[in-house]
Amino acid sequence: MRIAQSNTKCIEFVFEVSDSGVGIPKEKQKFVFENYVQVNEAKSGQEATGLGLGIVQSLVRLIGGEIGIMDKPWGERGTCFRFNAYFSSEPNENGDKEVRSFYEFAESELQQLSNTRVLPSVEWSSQVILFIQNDERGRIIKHFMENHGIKVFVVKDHRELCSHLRRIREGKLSLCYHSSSGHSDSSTPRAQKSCPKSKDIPLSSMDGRMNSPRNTSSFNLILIDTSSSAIQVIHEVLREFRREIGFMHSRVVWMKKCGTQSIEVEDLDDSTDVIVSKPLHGSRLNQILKLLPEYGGLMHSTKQDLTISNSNNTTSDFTLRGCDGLHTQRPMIGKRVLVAEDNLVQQMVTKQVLSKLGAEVDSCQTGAKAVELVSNGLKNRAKPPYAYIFMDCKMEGMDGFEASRHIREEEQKYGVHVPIIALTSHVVEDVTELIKEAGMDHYLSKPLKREQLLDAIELLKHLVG
Amino acid sequence: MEVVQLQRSFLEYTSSLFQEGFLDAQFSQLQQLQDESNPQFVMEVVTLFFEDTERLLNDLTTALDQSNVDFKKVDAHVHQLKGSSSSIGAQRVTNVCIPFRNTCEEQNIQGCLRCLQLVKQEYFLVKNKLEALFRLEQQIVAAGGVIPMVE
Repeated sequence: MRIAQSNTKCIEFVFEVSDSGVGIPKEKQKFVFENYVQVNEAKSGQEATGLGLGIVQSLVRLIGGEIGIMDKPWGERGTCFRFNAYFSSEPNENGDKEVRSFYEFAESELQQLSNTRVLPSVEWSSQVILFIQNDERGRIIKHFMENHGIKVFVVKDHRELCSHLRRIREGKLSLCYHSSSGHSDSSTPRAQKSCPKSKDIPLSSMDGRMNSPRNTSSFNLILIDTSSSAIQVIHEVLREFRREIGFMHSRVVWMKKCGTQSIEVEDLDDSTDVIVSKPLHGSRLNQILKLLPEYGGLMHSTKQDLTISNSNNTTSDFTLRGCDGLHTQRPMIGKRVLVAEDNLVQQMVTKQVLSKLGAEVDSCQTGAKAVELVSNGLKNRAKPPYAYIFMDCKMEGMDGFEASRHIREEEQKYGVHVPIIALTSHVVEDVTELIKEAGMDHYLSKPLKREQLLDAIELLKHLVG
Repeated sequence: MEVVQLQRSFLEYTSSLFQEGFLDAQFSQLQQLQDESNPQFVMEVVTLFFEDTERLLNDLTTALDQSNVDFKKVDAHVHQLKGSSSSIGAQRVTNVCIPFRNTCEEQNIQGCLRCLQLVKQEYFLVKNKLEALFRLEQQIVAAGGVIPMVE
């Protein structure tokens, strides 16, 4: 859809609807809008009356426009209908404002996709590598991306994919070789081993890729159809590729059949992997586009809670990673934490919440043990042994408050401060004073929830190195 | 076709457990915590809950059987039970723990005994339900299907 023209009284919109179906023969095109005419009358069991397009044409004419069938580029399947329509603005002040703001909104939405320079200091040059079973869908995706100025390479099988990735790696490696950091290309022999011999892709398609100027950063968005039988091989190839290219320069989108669990895609490496349901249409395509750096795709942002895209949901968003299809960003990766909790069931749940966020979790059941672990940790390394301590308030023997007090005393000797988050099942008002007095930094109520935990981590960011 | 029927039964059964209040949102949280790196998580936590609760129920029975009941101790046990049941979403068990703690505070022995009775009832009910659910899951997997996610 686009806005063809506008003035203060009237706006013209042009709508194009393109499908990838069987198409309408040229000689029949002028008849299809006539009532009761159907292109294919012979199909049994069909309930169509042949009135649909006639009704559409009438409606379009009623709103002042006209509808027609557009020629599709040679080789493309399907039909493309185009119609325009005029919408007049209200003659009153509010109406004008509404129309204007709608127009501004629509324009900004359309502009947003063409706006580049999200990272002004780095020029991004992205390419999309598409591995998809359905040719027509592949053509549509390619067309869409190229309309937005993104280069697309469609690969037919896993060997072509492999070969293409190898060329990118070599291109990148040669860039590195010429740069001041002077990396050597010792990885090439490894790359050869993981890829079977493949047929050649014309290098001309790679022109410009390898000769990018030094301050251009390249980005590869790889779209993989998981219904391929070679999915395991592809998985390994991609793992290898990303290890060499680096996670800042590539991202993988796994396309799965709508409604299925993607358990056939085992252990996705990267927390930035995206899973999307097929078919890749409309809003899903837009969101894939937004993964590209030119369109605002920021890697490793802390909170991207998106839900699965499938026919059950009204929102068409993505899932990041995970075979169960649920969001699993790992903001605590590389962090070691301690959970002091005497109730083993609660402890197990708390530990899993933390593990899923990427943390390494130590645990204990008493306040005394917590103090011991922290003290020993400090003695051994003289720096914080844990990024965070999750301390149950109520424990047998030494409770969480007392344990925290002891920990604070120990820490003083080393000049460190480990953030302690109190875990409480009590009503918050009752324990706030106690929490503060004990020197704890924050509290969370049990059972521990991912969201609240992430908020707490965010709040305490200034305390962690 | 059998797989589809099993999956449908599974979804219907799970829904009914939520609707009847046996399970609450926390149970869904557990299901969401399960992943390929911890594929048996729900079953493990629930099994631990069963073991833990049966021990607590025994302790409670003993404690309330004493000639001189230590209500503080009884309360401590109930507190534990409340914590673990709420962390797996066994809502009806958690709900009985609330009046149970009140009867402890009031040092009301009859009240406590009645609550113990109720909590045992609710526990065995939810235990049966969860075991039935796990059996359904196993049947689905054995028939080659995948366990559907409940919204």
